[in-house]
Amino acid sequence: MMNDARDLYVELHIPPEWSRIDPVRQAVGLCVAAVLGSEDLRDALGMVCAELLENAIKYGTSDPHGVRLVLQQSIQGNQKEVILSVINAVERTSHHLTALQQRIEWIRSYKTPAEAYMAALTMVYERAEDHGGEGGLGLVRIAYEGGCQLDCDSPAEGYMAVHARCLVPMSDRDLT
Amino acid sequence: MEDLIAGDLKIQAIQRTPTILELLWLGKSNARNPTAVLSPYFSQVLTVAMEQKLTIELHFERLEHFNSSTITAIIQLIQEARSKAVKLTITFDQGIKWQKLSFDALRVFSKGDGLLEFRPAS
Ligand SMILES: Nc1ncnc2c1ncn2[C@@H]1O[C@H](COP(=O)(O)OP(=O)(O)OP(=O)(O)O)[C@@H](O)[C@H]1O
Ligand SMILES: [Mg+2]
Repeated sequence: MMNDARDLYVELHIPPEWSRIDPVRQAVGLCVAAVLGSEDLRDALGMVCAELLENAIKYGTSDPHGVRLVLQQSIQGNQKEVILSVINAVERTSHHLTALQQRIEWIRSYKTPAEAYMAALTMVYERAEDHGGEGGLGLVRIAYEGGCQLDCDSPAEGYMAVHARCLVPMSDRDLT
Repeated sequence: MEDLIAGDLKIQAIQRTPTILELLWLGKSNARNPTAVLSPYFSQVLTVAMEQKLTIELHFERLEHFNSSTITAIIQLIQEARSKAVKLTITFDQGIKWQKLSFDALRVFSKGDGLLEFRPAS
């Protein structure tokens, strides 16, 4: 039987507390392993989830609804696409909004996510030599190690959604 | 050298031979600001390594997960160790995809000076 998109749909609302990230990372990883049967995808999407939640908590603003996370799959031709979206409230004037968009554009400007990741690692090393600031690896790691395409949009005034999409080949079971 | 225990992360320091200090990473490194605890610990490790002419072996095989800020802290360690001419080796489980991707990428810092080596294990 052909799997349909609803084989995987999880929606969580999480208080913006750092201690909630790791249990959600594990839960998302286990859901992925349960439906798609892959330990590599479990680890990859667990990591993607943790990096996105870290950002939502670090750069978002407080919101009574908390941080919203949606994990779902859709069918794209003969491939499945797993989509992990994290939505957080954000100040309309926050400089993080442009930083986020620019970072995603920057990643796309490289031929491959691996090249973007190597470039980001080198920048961190060079900043360490200059005793400069830190960070900037989360999103590019999602692209390289997580094998995900990133994009962002604003689903409603004052909210930011970051989507990570990952293509998964159909297994023989899916196609019978 | 003492162990480091911080939240879900434990780094066990073991000196099995007179020339090698092993740092075994266990659990998860997922703190908001891991540099705050890792950086002072690495400074101590580097001081001991310089005094006793030790190679530092970082073992990640049993680490379950780390966040990107931990990768930044590890890159800072690589940079500082090189500036002090302390030899580092990085061992990871190449049978685990996330470990292979993460640590293979750090090979970009091997500069032919023999100060940074990788030992994939599985
Ligand atoms: N959910 C978000 N809402 C608003 N801004 C964001 C969000 N996610 C990321 N950003 C912006 O994009 C930048 C890049 O994020 P990224 O995760 O790549 O690096 P970082 O968080 O700065 O460092 P690291 O992830 O290595 O700790 C952030 O510094 C922030 O300005
Ligand atoms: Mg981040």
